[in-house]
Amino acid sequence: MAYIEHVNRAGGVQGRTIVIRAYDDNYNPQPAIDNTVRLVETDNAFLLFGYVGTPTVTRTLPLLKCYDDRSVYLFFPYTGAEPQRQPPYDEKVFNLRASYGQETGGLVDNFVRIGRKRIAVFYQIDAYCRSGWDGVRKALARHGLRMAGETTYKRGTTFKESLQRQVEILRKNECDAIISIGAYAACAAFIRDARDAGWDVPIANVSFVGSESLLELLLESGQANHKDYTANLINSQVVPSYHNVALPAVRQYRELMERYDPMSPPAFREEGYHPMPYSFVSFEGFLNAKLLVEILRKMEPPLEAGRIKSVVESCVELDLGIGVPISFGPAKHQGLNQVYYTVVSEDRFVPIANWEKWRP
Amino acid sequence: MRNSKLLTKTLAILVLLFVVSGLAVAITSVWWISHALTQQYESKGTAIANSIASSSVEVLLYRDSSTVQAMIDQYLSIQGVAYVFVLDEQGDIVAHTFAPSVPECVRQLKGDRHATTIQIVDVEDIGECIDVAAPLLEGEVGYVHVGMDRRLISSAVRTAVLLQSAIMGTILLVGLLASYFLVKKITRPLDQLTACATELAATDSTSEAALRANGALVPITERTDEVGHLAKAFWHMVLELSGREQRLLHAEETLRASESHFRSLIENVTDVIMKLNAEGMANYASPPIEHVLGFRSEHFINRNLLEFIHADDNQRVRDTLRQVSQLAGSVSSEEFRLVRRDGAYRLVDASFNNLLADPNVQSLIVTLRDITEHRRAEEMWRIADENQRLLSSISSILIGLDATGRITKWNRAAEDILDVSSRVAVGELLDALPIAWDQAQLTCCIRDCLSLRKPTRLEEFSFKRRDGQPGLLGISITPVFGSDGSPQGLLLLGTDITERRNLETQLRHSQKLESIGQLAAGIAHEINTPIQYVGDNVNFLKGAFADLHSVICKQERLLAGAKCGRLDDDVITDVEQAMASADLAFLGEEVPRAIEQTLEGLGRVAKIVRAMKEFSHPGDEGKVASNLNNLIENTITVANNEWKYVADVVTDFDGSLPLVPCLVSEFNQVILNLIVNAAHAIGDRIKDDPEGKGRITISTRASAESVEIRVTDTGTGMPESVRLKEFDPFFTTKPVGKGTGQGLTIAHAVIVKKHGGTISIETELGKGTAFIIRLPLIDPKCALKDAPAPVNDSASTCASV
Repeated sequence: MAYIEHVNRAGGVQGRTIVIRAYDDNYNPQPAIDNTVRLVETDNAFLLFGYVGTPTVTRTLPLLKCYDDRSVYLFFPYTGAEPQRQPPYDEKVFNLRASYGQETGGLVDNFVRIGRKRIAVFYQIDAYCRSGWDGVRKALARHGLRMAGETTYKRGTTFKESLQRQVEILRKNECDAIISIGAYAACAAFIRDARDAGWDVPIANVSFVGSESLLELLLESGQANHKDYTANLINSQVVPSYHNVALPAVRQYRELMERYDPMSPPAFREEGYHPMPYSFVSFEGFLNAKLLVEILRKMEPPLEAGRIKSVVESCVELDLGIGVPISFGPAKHQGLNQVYYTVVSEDRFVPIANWEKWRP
Repeated sequence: MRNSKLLTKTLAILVLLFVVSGLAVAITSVWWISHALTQQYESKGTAIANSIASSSVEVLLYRDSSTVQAMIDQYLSIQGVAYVFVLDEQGDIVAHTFAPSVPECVRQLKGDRHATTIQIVDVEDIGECIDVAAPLLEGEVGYVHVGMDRRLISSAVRTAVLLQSAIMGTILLVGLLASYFLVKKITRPLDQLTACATELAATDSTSEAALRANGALVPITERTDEVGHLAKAFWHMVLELSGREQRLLHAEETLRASESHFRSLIENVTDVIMKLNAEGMANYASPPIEHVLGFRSEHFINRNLLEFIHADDNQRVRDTLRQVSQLAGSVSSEEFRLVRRDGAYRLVDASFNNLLADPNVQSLIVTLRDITEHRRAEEMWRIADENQRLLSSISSILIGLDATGRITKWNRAAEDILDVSSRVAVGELLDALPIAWDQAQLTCCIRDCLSLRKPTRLEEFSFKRRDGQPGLLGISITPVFGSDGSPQGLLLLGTDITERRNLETQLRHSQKLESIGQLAAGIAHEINTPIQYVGDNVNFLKGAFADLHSVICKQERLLAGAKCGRLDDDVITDVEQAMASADLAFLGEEVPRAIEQTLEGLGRVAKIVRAMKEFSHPGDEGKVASNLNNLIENTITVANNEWKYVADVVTDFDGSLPLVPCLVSEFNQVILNLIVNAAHAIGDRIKDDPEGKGRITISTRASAESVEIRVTDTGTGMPESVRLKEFDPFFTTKPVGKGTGQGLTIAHAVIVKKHGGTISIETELGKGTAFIIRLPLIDPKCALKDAPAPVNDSASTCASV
């Protein structure tokens, strides 16, 4: 929002301003499908942007296939799930962030490297987390290992609920690292219960958990219980830390956020909702928007739906200001493959300096 | 009411029948419902399993467990589906719906490669389930397991059974009620007859029982069957019994009325009448006992009279009781105290009458009369009488006035001193009596007392004594208040202080003589010193004059020779010799000084004499407006010899001091006493240091209404104990012979009583003492005389109270 606002104020792209047509799907598949149909049929959109969530995106994919003749493409969905990165849908989708497979795979690789081979998974019993689970399983298989244990929780579990049973199940399996794939409230509850049980095993969360919300819950309850729940907590991220002001993109992100203080579109604003000033998720959104604008700039007028795929696929070594060049190609619809690992230090996420500290 | 056996048996059979048939129906329906539902769930599960199996082959081949998960999540929402999970060809679970983990028992389940299999499993956390396993591509790709929740079946069965039981229960209840009323119609009249008979046997009053039975029995007698005949016969018997009982009751009633007549006689006399056995145990006490002891009469019964008697009287009454009870018909009376319930004592007069032998009484009859109040009244009379005698025998005048100013009391001393008999005085107004005193001043004082509502005092109130001589009274007037605080009158208490005043005057005189005597030696010494050097100087002048005279004589001779023109050397030499021996220069210097000194000495003597004269100012002249500074100065001079060896006197006079009305002689005396005291105090202080000297400071200051004289010394000061007693007569700290102990008492009397002023002390042990005298500029006695004093209206004044 901040970046698009910034571009529009600066005169737009080739003299045309970007209009945001936003609909709310409430993280449910059915409205996601309905909204997509409306965008394509009524609003005549051929460029879909800002989709969030595995269940919603995976169920929308077949629609893109349906609109094959209209050249509708999905740009940079916020999900690391596999379906949009695999045939037959990969050709209709462009991804910026690394996949869950890459995130979980990276975590598994690092844990195995330091000798933590009994890895267990704590996950939400739904499609999004199943893909994360699958990533862990496959990564372990590459090392010739099997999951040391797994435990699940139902979607909608709140922070107040006890997840001690899940902690006990994994503890019985004697695992020495846990990868947690789920929503921030349940993940925070799991961490709290594990630490309360005196179990200091490293627990790693993936980017989609909502790192800042997770941290806020843990700090709050940590303060109430006089405990440090953030020790041995690892979060993998798919964008660099927004604290790293050495990166030009971070500086621009911070400046534009300060300047425009973006809010949700007015129709979806909730009373009493105060978004955090900066977060990994919003920084990812910022990078997505920036990349989209770069691509639009590359298009020579007139803007034609049919040409967009070839334009994107011709992008080579685009510099977004994060120190890593972005390239696309006909067989490469994945922009970034980097996974960034963070730990909590002084109540904020900082990059992991050395994995060796967790060597058992 | 007790149920008849007939009724019980009928109902028991009915219940048995219902239970058996109910059970049979329930078992049959449970089996049938459960069977049908199981079949239904099995087919539902099979359909779901097959549906997943057929649609997920492709996805599984792509190894996309996320999509499989999305698919099976949808099926979970179908009613009855407890879980779904998918195994791959290795038998690993690739997607499932369990939380928090896959139960061990489901992992063990095996599917058939060629057909859908159904089995029952008991799943932890969920319960018993029907597991349907379907192979994917003949088991080559994997298997799908769908678990249908059997708890739904059992809950459906439970609901059906409950519903059935409710219906059966209702029918049973209706059946039971119907048969109950049917059987009741026969057993009830029989029960009622039985109950009536039982009650008749148990009750005291047949007629009442008959009356109660009437309502129940009469309808039965109207029946024409055997039950009706039985009821009729029974009813006749009841009526006959009831008639006999009525006659018996009437006789008893007559007897009771007579007894209550006599009882009320006893209970309404104010004396207590009680019946005791030989040991004193009460078996009756009439109600007035409650007034005496605070116990109700029924509480007194079966308690011993002796328990309530005061410990001091107990033995005596015990003896009397024993005596009386030993001899039939004997009577004795005794006075003793009883202890009330609240602990107070009541004095009673009791008479004991032995009627143990009387067959109708068989008791000691005791009559108690409470004489406490009577005794108390007697005692009060005695005390009042004693007070009367006390009042009449005191030597002070005691006059009581009531609220209207009339005399209520006039004691013997009042009769003697005022020469008016109490017969004449009582009932009169005070100012109507022929008494020679200043009635107006007294009335004024009474009025003050009434308006201030506190005692007032008249000092030295003049009156004419019986013998015609003038006398002095000291009168205190005290308001008398009732218990509610309202004024009830006045009490005048007067003492003839004539004799005492005379003695005091004499004493004061003697003190004055004492001080003059004491001063005389000092003054003699004071005068002696100047007189001595005046004498010396006059002697010197005498010699000087002789020398001068001889010089002059010789010079005359020279002069005479010179006139004749004859200047003999002899004569000149003679003159020169005389002049040399006379030392004219010396004389020229010393003679005027000697004369000066002499005159000064004479002046001092004159001053002392004048001061002495003024100090011993003849008294009894009344108050004179005086210059206090002069008076003090004189006194300092007179007392010079008393202080000059120990102290310096510093005066700090207020030049603007107005003339103050005072008794000069008395005032001088006071100042002298204070100076002498101060000198003594300083003397005590510097006893061990002959070189040291103290200081006496005397200051005067005027204010609007009074003047203040302050005599401060740097002496020993005085401890608190001495300070408090300082103005007491005869109190002295000086050794015997040095003081009479009257000095300050007189000072106090003069300043306070005669001048209406105040005298106070400020002292600090070791530092010194200050006496502070304040004299009013207006004589209070004069002021009182000036005030408008209505004469002869004390009655109206008093009436206004």
